[in-house]
Amino acid sequence: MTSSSSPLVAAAAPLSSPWRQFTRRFLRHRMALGATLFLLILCMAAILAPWLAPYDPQASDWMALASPPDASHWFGTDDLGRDIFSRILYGARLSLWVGLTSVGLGAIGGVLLGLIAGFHGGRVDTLIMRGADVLFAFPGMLLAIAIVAVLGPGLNNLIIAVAVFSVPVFARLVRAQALSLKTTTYVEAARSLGASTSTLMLRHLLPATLASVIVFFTMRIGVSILTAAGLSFIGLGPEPDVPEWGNMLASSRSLMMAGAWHVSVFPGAAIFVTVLAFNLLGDALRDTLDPKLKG
Amino acid sequence: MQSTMSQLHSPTTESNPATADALLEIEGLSVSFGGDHGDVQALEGVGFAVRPGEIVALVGESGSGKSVTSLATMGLLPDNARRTSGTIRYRSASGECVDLGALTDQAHRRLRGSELGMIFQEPMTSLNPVLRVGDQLTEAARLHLGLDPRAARARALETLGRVRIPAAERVFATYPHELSGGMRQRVMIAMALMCRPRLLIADEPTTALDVTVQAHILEILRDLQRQFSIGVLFITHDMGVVAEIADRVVVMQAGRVVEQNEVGALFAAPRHPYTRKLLAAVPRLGEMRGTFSPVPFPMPGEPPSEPQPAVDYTQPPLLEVEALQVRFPIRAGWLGRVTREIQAVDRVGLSLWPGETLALVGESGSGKSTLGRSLLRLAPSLDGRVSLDGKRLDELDEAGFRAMRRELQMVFQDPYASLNPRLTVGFSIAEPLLIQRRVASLREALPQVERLLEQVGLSPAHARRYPHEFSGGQRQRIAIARALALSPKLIVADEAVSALDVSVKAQVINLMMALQRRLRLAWLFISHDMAVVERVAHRVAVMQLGRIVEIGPREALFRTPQHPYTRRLLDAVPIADPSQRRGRRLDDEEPRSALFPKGYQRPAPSYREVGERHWVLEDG
Repeated sequence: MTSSSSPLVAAAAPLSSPWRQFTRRFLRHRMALGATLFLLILCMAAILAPWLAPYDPQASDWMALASPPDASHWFGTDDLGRDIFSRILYGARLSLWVGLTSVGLGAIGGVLLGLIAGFHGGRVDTLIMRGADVLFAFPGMLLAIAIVAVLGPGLNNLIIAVAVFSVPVFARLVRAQALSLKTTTYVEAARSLGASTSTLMLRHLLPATLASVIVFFTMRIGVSILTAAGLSFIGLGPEPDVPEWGNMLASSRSLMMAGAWHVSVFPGAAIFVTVLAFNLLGDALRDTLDPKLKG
Repeated sequence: MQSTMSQLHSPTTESNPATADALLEIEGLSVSFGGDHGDVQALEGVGFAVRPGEIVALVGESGSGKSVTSLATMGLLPDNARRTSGTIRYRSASGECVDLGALTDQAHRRLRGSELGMIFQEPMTSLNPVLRVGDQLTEAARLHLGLDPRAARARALETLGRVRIPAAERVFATYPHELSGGMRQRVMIAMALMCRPRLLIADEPTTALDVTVQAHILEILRDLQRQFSIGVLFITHDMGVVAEIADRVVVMQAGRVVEQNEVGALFAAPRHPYTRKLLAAVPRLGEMRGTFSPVPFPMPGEPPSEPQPAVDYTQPPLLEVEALQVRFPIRAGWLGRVTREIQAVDRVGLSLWPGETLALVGESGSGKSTLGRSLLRLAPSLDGRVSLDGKRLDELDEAGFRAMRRELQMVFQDPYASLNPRLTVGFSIAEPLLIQRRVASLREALPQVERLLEQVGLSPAHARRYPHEFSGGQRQRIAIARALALSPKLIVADEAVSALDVSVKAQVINLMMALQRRLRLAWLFISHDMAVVERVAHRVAVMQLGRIVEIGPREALFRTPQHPYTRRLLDAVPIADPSQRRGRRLDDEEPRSALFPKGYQRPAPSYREVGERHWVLEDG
């Protein structure tokens, strides 16, 4: 500060790139590292499921119906004799796909609407945010049920239902930031250069909101996986024989009563650990990327 | 270090016989901050004392450690700071000596509320925006003195009176955002005084304020210090303010005390080279008397600069503004109806010639920034004619105006906020070229960006760096480079150097003047700093309550100010010479505002010519 007489001072100062700062802070979170490792393994397992799975997820072993875990079936089999471990591996593909795409769609919609609402203000803002308020007023699950009821059950409609329910969350988050960012001097400076509305929004507002969007994105994946599993559980997801974690839980209901614990514990644990891992990762990202969000 | 410290200590201990009666005595204080790159030493062996009834000024540029010293004293150091050695002894009202550095948080808080008062730099952020002024004032008194609400209120009103707040009852019931910066700072002082502290720590209390308000606040502080015989630790970077208010001066540089002495002796015979450098960089009002063209600041080790070329007033002006009006509606009541308006700019007219610098001066709320911003359509103008180079700007639609923006650029006050932290400096400079489609891609813009960086005294290699890697002065150079990218004819500089340290300020101003010589740029230089304006401007326009009250050639206006407001403004400028300290008459003139009922039209301004191109508003 005192010696800006020499323009070379900045060159001499130690360089600390934002990326390096981020990794240093992130590596301090032991739990987050564990969660990341788990999610990486899960992703690999989902991608490589056809090669990793010991059995065909649809193939029935008529000799072992609802058998408890043993050496040949690690997680046991369900009432139709299908290998639960293989079904969970295949189910990971569906759950991760549903989680990522639904939150992705919700985030794209929410971020755009939030940017427009925050930047333009006035009537546009009122319209978008009152719409968001209406969506917020529905319990999330009920809203998703309503959407699936209108569109019909199935994987794609499930994704759309969960996505719709993420839109207002992102819209509200981004709008609040856009509101405060649009009055910053650098946005005003760009405006004084003649920048168009889209330049201002996409170049100057959007990048500044990305950190918190990423944090929220991660946390929402957990919620979305849970919602999707819930919808499948009540029969609004894909076909009942598709190896989806919620589906597996639903079909295990009757066996659970009959004392076959493994049919519901393993799919349930898969949902639980995955959601927990995404939440832990989200918490860690929030602490490292966006310390301001910390409550 | 230790030996030089004791040498530095000796003159003060001799001239001030007893430090035993000191209210605050800091000795060998070292503080370090833990950071990502290891510990950073912020203070090293700092030592000085404050006696009752004495104002000690702690001066230095940004990063010298003066604020860390005050925070350590108040027990408000951030969590990652550690006191590595030294003591901060405070003699409390009961006569016992406590080490402020070793107190528990709770004990410190009790002391802070009752015996120590603190005034911060930013009156905008140091008051809680969601509480009424009155509630904030009475809170501390009720907490620490156990006053009942009625007594606390009486005391608050009395204290508001002491800091010369007119209509204390009304201010008591307002929220901070309804008050001007000067009023807020007075409220801050009143808050610090509520519990009648014995030691007041004022951290740059006048830096964010205009000169007349600053003079007022300084006068209030001095008055209060005399009345209550409180000790004041006054932290500032402004040598003019030091000369006005301090009894003793402690000069800090890079975390160390380099010199301390009585104010008169220090100004008359500075010993340390850094003190000499600081004093040399202070612009002094009246230095330019008899010089008609602006002259760059003399730089140590450089030949004296040529004055700026004279402006040819016979040719048509570059910018002509006539009867420009800007009003901001104030909504009130349940229905949010507009009942009143701020007439921020009221039928202002001015002209600016090519290659000329016109300074726009005035207090906060005078409308000077709004005028500059409305020229760039950053503030909505209601009415008026603006022409640039003979083209009417006010008649253009948004698209047409966007194309005209290349002729008209702006440099903002805060160099930390005016650059997007996520974009490289090179991109920020190239952005105007991309927006106005002068270049097709960033790659194509690079040669121009590098040339612009060189033009403002930076290295072309800096294009790939991010704003946080630069100091305030360098960032302002970058902002100037961005403004120059489209080769504009006129740049509006809105308090462009106000946030910079003195030595850096001089360099940036010299750069602005060099660019004017080279490119025949016209500057609309909006500033509250009269001493800087005296150096930089060809002509000066003085604004008050949305109107120009006096406009004329800088030399004539500074030598023979005609309007009473101009005279007040010039009178208020601190003089960097303690021997010329004068007992100022405290003008109790109630600060007026440009707030009027909706639709109210003030009588049209009329001007009297008092000299060549020198006009004065006829009041009433």
